[in-house]
Amino acid sequence: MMFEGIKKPGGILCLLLCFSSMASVHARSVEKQAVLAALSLNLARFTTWPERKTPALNLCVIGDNVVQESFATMDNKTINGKALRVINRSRLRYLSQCQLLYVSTLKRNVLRQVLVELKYQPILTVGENKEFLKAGGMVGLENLDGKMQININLPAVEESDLVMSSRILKLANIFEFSNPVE
Amino acid sequence: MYDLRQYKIFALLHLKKWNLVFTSLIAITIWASSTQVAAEAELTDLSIEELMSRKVITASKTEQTFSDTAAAVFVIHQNDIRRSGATNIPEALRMVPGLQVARVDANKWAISARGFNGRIANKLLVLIDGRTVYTPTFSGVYWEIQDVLLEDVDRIEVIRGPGASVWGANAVNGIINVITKNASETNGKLVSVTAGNEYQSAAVRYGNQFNKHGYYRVYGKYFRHDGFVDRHGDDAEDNWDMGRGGFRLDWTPSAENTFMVQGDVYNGDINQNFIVPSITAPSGGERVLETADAHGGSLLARWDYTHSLASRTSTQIYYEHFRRNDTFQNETLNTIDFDFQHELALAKAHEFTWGVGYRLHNEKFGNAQLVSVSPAKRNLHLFSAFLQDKISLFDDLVTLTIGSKFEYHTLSGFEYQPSLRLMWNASRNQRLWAAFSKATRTPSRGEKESKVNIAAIPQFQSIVELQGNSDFKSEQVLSYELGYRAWLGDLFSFDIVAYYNKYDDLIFTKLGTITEPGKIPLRIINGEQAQTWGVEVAVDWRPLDWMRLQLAYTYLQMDYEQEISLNTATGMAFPVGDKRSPEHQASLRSSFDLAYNTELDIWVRYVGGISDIAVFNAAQLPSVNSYVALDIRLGWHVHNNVELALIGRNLTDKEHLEYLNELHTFPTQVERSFYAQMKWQF
Repeated sequence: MMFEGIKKPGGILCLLLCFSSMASVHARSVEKQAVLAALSLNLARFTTWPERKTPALNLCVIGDNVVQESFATMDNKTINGKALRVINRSRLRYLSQCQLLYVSTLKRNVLRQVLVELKYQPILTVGENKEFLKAGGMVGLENLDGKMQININLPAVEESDLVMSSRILKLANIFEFSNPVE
Repeated sequence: MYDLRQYKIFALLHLKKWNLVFTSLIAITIWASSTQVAAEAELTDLSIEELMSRKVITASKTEQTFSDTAAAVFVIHQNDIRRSGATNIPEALRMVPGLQVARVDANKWAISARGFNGRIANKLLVLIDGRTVYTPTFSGVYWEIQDVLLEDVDRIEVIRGPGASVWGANAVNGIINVITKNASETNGKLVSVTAGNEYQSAAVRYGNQFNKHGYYRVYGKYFRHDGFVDRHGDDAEDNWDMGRGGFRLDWTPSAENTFMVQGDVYNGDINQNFIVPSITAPSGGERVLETADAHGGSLLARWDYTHSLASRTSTQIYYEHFRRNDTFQNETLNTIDFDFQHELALAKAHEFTWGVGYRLHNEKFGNAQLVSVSPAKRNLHLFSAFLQDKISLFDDLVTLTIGSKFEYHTLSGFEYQPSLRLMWNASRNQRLWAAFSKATRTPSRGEKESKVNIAAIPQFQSIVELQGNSDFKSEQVLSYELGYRAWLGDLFSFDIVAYYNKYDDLIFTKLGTITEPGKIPLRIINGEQAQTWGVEVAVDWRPLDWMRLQLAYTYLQMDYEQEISLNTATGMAFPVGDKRSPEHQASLRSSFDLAYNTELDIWVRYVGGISDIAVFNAAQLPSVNSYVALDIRLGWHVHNNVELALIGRNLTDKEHLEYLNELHTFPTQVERSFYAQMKWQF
């Protein structure tokens, strides 16, 4: 009997409205994926690649549609005098043409294989969480209690002849996973 | 902020009227897109320090992760399961558009995609971590024995329509793929306890690392479920209980190799009602209440080898044991399955996938009151191979996928099942796709070699016997699908699919020659054709940080044509199998993240009535009417590791009927239930 009223859609709508007005209204926080993309852009800004005569900086993205979309707005931005080119590399082709490779989700074994193939190449690999470092990646971005943290596996960066600015290194948690995968 | 609230109220007030809903959705889409672009432009201008100090929320993934699949895909993520309050896989499946989910009684479900529903719905393939749980005996899935620790489920992928080229036999109308988490993601201990008026359960899981690159977990789970009520509201006494234990091990010794081993065992006592045909009873049947003993287990091993990024193989082998003994069946089934799959990127624009498989079913039937199978012992062999090429055209603008599956089965011989899929990347966040496919459903031993005592006619002192037919061949479908999806980041997504299916050689029956007095034989034949068409819509919208609305709508039409008329002088013809499905279904899930780490979830479902009931003694049975169900969950994260929840299910009525079993029907109604849940992770 108690729920008779709910049988009508009107009752349900009322319920929804009542509860939504009860909940506190606060500003929309930033979606994690948008911050991950913006942080990746900053990582590119503060990394020095071995000198190459390429006019553009290729930022390659491996991830689903939401990940792709978060990077799309950065296409054609200028970074340290070079045009940034955002390229979808979800099919894992021509990865060595990338200067920065952002990896969202990949099957564990495929991720390891990607990172093994790119080892010692001057490609800044950015992914999520410390697991990414353990798999052989360089930078693992992590959401800790609602704030983003930067985890860096320094040996992996140095082996690839990349130089990261001290401004980043100061802000980051530094790890030293040597030969994460035999 | 003020604008935001206005939109919300505007949209909700008009939910009743569909055209207005769409108008408001479009308005909101435009509004949301402008705010999102603005937010992103602003973010890229922030310094690294500012970015690191911004409050960030992690939105749960939407089903749009599958945006590049040219098929009707819906994904249930762990968070969807948790917030639905579901205590088993079938109940979670009610949120999927295009699926028909009906509860037969306390321990049986009828689940199908795009129609043809039944307790043993034979056109839906179900896999749990790569293991097929489709039974070859009666071509269907015994949902009551398909269970995992729900907290360990990573996601459930549901593909409607034939997915034949990669997925294999019997995926005529769809595939449900339950995928559990990698053991490295379940490190630590978990205790989960549920108590309520209809259901009580306790589960424990322990996960740990066994070496630098290897993880494992073990779990145990026990539940008991109360009986539901019969058509008069009296206890149906179909209570049941089941214990289950299992493990999973994941090991990555090198970059090239990944190994996974998992296994589980279960044992349950399932109380159930049958109306057993009897020529002495005036109604032609007597109720039998009995306990079925069901137990079994499985062991699976998989090896993934990555030669290079352009070449990967996966090799899998499993063994499964199944045993069930009751009035209906006395069956022992052992299965051994081997699968090999190779993904190969040969040229720039081509991605090949090919594979081979072999499956052995070793079946043994004892004497059961209602069903006899001859020969009692039989080995069934299935050899399969598939080939698929995904071709990128016009610089990835269009993707063409062509492929075919080839099978040889002991009961149906050689079959091929080709498919062609085309996807157009219309824009960054829009996809349009079309597919054409042919699929077949392998005959079961039940249809070929069994005799089932289905009804009694006291006036004629006769029993009606459903007889298998050795000439019965595969059912077939030609399917045409068209789909469109669009999204705005994680804020909004919209997915619509329309399809037309043409079926041939569907199962039907015809009166056989009477050779024995007192026995009316009804022979199974390929005697029916059908056409179905429908539309499925999924909308996922996050109007605010703390609010999410998920809508699913299903429209389905089914048309049949029999080769023999029901009215001819040949007398009786009885449509067997499974065609009961509602015309309209809708589900709206509203999730709110409230203050003090509390969560509120409201789930409303409308399920249309089922008019096309084909049960032998239909005249005596109640009709299955449309119903509205309401579930409410109130959750509280007391602590990072402790979650409490109060859940009410089917709140709108004390009891309602969702379905009638095809054979030996004892109508059982689903009851309103309440329960409390506690999950502790440490």
